[in-house]
Amino acid sequence: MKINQKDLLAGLVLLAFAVAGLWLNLDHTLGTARRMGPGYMPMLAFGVLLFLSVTIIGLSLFNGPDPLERWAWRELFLILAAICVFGLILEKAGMIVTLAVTIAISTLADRTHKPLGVLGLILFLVALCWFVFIQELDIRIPVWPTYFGP
Amino acid sequence: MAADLSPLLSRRILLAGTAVLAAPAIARAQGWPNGSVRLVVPFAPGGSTDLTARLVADGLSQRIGVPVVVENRPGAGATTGSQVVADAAPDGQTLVMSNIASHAISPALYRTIRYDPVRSFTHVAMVITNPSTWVVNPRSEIANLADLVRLAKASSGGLDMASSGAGSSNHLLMVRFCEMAGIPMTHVPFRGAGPAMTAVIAGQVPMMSDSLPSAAAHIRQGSVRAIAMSSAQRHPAFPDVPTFIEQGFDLSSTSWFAISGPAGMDPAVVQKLHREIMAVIATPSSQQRFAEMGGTPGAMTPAEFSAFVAAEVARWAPVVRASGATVG
Amino acid sequence: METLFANLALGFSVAFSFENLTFALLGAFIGTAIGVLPGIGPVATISLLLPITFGMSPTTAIIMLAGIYYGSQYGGSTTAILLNLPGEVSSVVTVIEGYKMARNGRAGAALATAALGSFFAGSVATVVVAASGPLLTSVALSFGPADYFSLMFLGLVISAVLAQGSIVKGIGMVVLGVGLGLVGTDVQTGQQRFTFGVPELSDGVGFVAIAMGMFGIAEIILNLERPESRNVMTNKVGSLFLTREEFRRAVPSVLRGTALGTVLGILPGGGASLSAFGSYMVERKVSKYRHLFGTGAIEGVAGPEAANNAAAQSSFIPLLTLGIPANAVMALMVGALIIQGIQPGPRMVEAQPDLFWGLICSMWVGNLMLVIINLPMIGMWVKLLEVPYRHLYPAIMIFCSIGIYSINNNVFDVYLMVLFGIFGYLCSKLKLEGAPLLIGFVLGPMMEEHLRRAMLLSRGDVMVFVERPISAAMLAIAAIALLAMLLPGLRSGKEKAMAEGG
Repeated sequence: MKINQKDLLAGLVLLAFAVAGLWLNLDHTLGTARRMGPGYMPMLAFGVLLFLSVTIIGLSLFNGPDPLERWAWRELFLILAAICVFGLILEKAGMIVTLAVTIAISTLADRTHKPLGVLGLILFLVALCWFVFIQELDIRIPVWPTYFGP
Repeated sequence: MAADLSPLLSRRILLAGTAVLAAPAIARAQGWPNGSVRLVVPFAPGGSTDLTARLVADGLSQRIGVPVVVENRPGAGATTGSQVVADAAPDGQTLVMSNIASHAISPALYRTIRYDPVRSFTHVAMVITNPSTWVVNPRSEIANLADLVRLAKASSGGLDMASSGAGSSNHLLMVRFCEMAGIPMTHVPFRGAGPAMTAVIAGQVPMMSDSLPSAAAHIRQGSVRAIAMSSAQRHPAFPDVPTFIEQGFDLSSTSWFAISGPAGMDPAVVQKLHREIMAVIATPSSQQRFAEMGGTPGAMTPAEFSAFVAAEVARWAPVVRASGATVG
Repeated sequence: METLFANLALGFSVAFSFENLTFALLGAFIGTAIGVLPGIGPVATISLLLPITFGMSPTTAIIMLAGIYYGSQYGGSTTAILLNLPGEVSSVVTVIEGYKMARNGRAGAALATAALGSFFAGSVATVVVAASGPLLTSVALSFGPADYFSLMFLGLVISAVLAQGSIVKGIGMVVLGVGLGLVGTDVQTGQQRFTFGVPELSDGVGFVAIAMGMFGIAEIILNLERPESRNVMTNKVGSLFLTREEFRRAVPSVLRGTALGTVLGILPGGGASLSAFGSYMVERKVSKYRHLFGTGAIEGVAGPEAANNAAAQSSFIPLLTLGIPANAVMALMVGALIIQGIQPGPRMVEAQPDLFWGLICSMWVGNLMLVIINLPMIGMWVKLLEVPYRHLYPAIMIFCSIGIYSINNNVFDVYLMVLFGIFGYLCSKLKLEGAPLLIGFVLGPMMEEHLRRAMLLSRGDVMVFVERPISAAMLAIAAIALLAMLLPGLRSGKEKAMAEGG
């Protein structure tokens, strides 16, 4: 047997969604075909997904090999952490501070960055964002910190 | 990524310009307004709440000398945006376009709601009220409510009745009507009034209950026929359309759009804001637009308006229960 | 015919007035700029700019707003091609071949194709709207809920073809997308589904959060992990414009896309979003170069871009003749007109002929403006790709973050984007594709709505789907498409799939 690891895992991921969806859907009334309840369409969709995911798992046992690839955990973590920090502090620290922090974290994901270059990048992008989003588009976003202390 | 956006500047200059011109004319009571005022609209841009808010915001910013910025915070039956304002500081800088959904129906519909429609807000001014109107396809045999009842009784499983959505004031009006007339109904909800109106024009659904502003033009054009108006008296813009009461159903309902702020606003600011809003809706151009939309400008003091909201909440809760619609 | 020319002459005399020309240009320019910024869409911009239109004449106001609408559509494809960032449903499809073309050093050609294809499609659709707009309204009215359901179902079936690899995995992603689309408040009963009590989810998962997470953010991480591949673009920037060969290949695709988009755009609610990937599917099946799909085929940019623009144009038909907006942008335009004291609808053609015909002609003028603005800018855009990636990715990241925040002024959407970033990365590691998921996400809820309404109105009789000729025809095409997709897989297995998927 030549197992296709990618397809196997893909099938399992879809299977997990299907099972979770069907389980959560137990809360919703199905209704009748004439007057379908909120649970009718999810039942159809996740039922079909269940069938498809089992098919994918079944096929994956024969159509390999296709081994899994290495994950770039460091880059994944740093980029997502940077965006999460953006969300966490934006409304208190304001756009300027938030952008500087976010950009600084994100640059750690690429090892070729140098401190001075990062500083320049921060200055340039903060100025650009201020110009585009605040000066021109005037979107509703806090610019300066509104909250100090703990 | 940076394209030159300088044409957008024109709007800012325009706003700043009106601010500078208008500023000296106004005696600033208690330091209000202090910078631009946010007017939160708890619906997506383009609807009648949004339109009304923009009309008021435009007039108000010219009168109080600072920009009044409309901010759309749609979601969860207009409760998301209302919650934002309920949580804001009561300094008069943050206001909400309160309405029948956010402050009368949704509190009964949504179990997870965190604000009290009466006590979490300072109710400032009623802006516009408008009735619902029931329209049918012009080729249909339905000419009045009696026809509607007769047809519903003859049908299997009730008459198909369209509305802009489950739990909307239009839907609930139909629920009340069918209870009163003792007829079965099949409610056919749509995603907004536009698609429902299309279905009536195309003859897929025999009738719908719609707010007058969105139905007015279609009635004038003859693409649909109005059979009943939910106001207490005949509407001046549509004198030919009889009311529910005239047709023997003791039913009246008006949807409303108003301006409210967070609880605990300074009474002096409330008075001033109320006066300015009344002045805005009294201008001939506002009056004309409201008339075209089929609305009646509001005339209530802040105290009357607060009592009105409390009455609305009490009025709609049992209807929501009867409709069977609940949320989360 | 003579009245048509007289009407068009009236229209052009309105559209070519200095003021209207200026505002058409301004609108197209602003639209392009905001289309390029991820997350900031035409709805937000038009609602921001609405107050200044109060002071203009209604014709000028709507001409400018329409310019913003087309401009943003065009700007959206620019970021899709250059940065793998689809801002709207239509550009999800442009990403597939367009971004591959950019990686092959043909970003300039892809952008030029998008501009010229859109212009051609826009010109044709303008003439169609002018000549038969009021007539075509009956097409929109003849579509009942059963017909819409079958159309959406057909759309879902053909969207599986967007997958480059396994068809079964593609269909799986479509169905998962349908499931994601069901999150939020049920339209019929108002019940919350799959929201876990989170109020932000009560209106569903945001399209932009999924698109930016799965495409934009995941792509940043993928590019960072393979430093060797990310400089490919900078090294291979070829000629900026189309080669003769590319031009010859793009023409038939543009023609097919224009026809498809014009027809589908007339249907309110969903027609326009179906047009772009419907065209992609057609190209992938009928183009002479279908074996190149998945590697950066110009047909996959030319067809959908033309279809998308033609549909954007013809979606004005229900607005102008029925007064019923086809989407949120149109709803805002109705709002702008109502504020000006004009109600769109059948009477508008007679009551406001200068507005009606002026708008139609300014659609064409607006498209011309877009070509004039954008062709010279292609060089600048391609230069953007020469910026070292380590400087580019923080910029993409923060533009996405600010953009997604600004949609609802809510940080919840930012976290949602992060979540879909992780999911997108996982999917690309497992060769699961994002495009079919997004299409399922958009069409699924519409399909549910029409299915339930059709069954409600037919009193539970399933036969309504085969008794109505439009619906029956759609279902027949869907069945044939499904068979055509699955049969080769059963017959010759993997080799065939490899050859087709590339």
